Amino acid sequence: MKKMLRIELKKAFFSKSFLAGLGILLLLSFLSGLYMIENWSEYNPNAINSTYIKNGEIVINPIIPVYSFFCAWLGGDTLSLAGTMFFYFLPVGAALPYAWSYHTERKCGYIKNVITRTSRKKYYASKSIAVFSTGAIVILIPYIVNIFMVSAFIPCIKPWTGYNMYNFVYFGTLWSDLFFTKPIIHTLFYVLLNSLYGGLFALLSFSISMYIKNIIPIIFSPFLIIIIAGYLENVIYEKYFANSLLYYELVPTHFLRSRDVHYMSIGWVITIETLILFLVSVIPIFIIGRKWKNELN
Amino acid sequence: MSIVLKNVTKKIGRNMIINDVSCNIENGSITGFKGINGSGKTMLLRLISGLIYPTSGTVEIDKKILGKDIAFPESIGIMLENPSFINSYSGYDNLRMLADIKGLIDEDRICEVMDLVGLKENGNKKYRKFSLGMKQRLGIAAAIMEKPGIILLDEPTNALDESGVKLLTEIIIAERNRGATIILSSHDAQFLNKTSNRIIEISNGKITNERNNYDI
Amino acid sequence: MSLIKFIRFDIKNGIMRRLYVYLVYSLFIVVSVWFFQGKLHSYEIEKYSIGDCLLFLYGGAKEYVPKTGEVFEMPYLWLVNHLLILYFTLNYTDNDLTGFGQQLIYRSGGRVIWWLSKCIWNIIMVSGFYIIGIIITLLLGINNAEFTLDISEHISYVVNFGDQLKQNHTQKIALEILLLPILYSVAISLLQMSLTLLFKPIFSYIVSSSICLSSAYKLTPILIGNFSMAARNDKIVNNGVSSALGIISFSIIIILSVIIGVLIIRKCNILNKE
Repeated sequence: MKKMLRIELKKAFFSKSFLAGLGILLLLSFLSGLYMIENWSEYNPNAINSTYIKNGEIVINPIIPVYSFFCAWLGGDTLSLAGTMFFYFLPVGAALPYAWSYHTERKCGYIKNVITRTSRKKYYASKSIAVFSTGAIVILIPYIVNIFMVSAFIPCIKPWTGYNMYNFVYFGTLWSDLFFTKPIIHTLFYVLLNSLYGGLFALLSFSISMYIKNIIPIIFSPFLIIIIAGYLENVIYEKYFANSLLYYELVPTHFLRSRDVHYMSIGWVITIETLILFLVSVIPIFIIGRKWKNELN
Repeated sequence: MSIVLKNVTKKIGRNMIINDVSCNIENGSITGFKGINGSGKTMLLRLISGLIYPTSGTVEIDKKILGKDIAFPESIGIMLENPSFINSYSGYDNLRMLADIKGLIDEDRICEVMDLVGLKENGNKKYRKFSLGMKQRLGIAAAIMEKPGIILLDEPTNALDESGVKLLTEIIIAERNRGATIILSSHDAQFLNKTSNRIIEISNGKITNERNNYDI
Repeated sequence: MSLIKFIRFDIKNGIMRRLYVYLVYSLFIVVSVWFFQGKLHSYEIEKYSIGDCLLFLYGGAKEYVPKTGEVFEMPYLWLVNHLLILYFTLNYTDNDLTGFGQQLIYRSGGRVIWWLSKCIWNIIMVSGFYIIGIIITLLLGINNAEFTLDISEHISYVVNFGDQLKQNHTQKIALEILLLPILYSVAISLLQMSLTLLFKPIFSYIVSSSICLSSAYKLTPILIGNFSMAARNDKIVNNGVSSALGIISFSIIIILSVIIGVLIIRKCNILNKE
């Protein structure tokens, strides 16, 4: 298993497709960071950092928390086009590196050479780990680059609940308590959540490739599913829950952002959705993939 | 139809696929390109077919330069690599569709060719149900059915059984006798020796040896 | 081979043998029209015009201005429509060029004819989606809809025009709700098709969907998707984009895409997929 895994990981990470997926997402994260830094630099730092005296006491400018790294990093960017596009292209960027590999290996017959040398279980397991890893890492790296870039210019000031019309983090936003108490942990959690979803989207593409023999749907199905899900969410909520308060955010493109979420992003809803996505991705790979002799098609 | 290659070079990306190749292919002859896998035989055939153009040098068909005077040879039949047909059509329907393009032949000729390549009974099966050997035979049928002036066959013996190879040899000689200029590429020396007037050996995109085959 | 024969082949294999894509698109339109009717019903409005429905389907939504309290709402209906059309027109050209199409090209003796036929196929295919959309809108509106392209007052209940809505927004905007979306789809899918000759279909789809996503986010004439949104047209909103400029932009892109394709196909290497 270790050997198989090493081979798969090497093929996954040392490939042009990995660079392509990473390149697209890095570009978007870089542009987002650039925009936010430029946006922040328009404000007079002296005015921001100035203090004033109230009742004889020196008080720091209360507007400072608005101009914080935690509202400017990629996960918190609500202003730039690049930041928005990053979340929509997240499934594509995650699937590009390696999710298509099973399809290609089956098509060219390489898979027959592998299956006859190792067990199907080991092949699918190591392939799944490699696909998940590339999907996760290709999301993680742009986040790290963006965090380093933005934090070099914009100070990490703890957000204040009083400025929620700037923060866009409300009671119904996931981990909102952490945003105001431990914002660094909040940032870390969102980065990990995004990476997890990157891995899951890549796995979803992989499981789609068990049934579809065309690379375009394999790469773009999660992307289109997310967009159609966003559309259906609007339709269903407006049609059936118009007078209800039960607007839970179900579309990953929305709840993967740490701010500016349209509906409530609740922990248990997201957990269930993550589990469902995991099962939908993994079941076809392991159970059906092992039973059916797909590799002979 | 005469074919002349003059200092033809083909680069794809950073790879030199064909390196300064020059040769004359006589009208009405069978020329065999011989070489190991990756030597550049298929690329040469693609260059002669007009599907790709040389990076430098010229390919002339009857003194007309491909890519300049003409896009493709006027009368050509090709079978390159894995023949591509439409999966949801039958063998007959695939050939019929191709024959409709120029309108040079009728249904009888298609039936005749299908019989010639040994696909008479399987002609109405959907292409997706063809075996590899049957696909190969259909590719040969598509290449010869319109009695073209130039026939290019790339690894034509692939997936063919002994009787298939024998049949193919007969077809090629018959086409040569009709007056077609035929170029074969194969790593099968025995097959080339049985069919080709001239054998050109290719290695790393260059011609390393040329000899007339006096057995033919 | 004449252009007509090529077109006939493309219609047969690129459209008639792929009717399932129209089925999927029809389902999307049915859900959308049903949603539109439901939205009107919630405001106790039962009568509407065909123009209202088409504006809802293809008109997009108001511009997004990043400001305090304003959350970006993706105009999903508009986006899904265009992304589906781009997706369904993505693969055919590349599959043909690297497969059976090679046999047609060399027999016909003309690379350019092959490309022009594909352009015409593309236009017919894209138009087909909109024809289906209009037919379904008409069919589902048999009981409730007035068969006119005029826009009614209450359209602002269901389409969010923002605070830049003009007083006289109910003027005739048939051009904006019908022609511009079709032209945009044709332009962007032709651009995608010509990019496919240069790059792999995956990357050309990323480019075309980026244009759609960017246009949804930002109101600027540079992002041509804005011209296709009637909700961002200067006949309806004060800071909207001009229809004339939209038609000119789309025409330029269509012509350029065809020309670029001609230039590329004349010289490109025609190789198998592998």
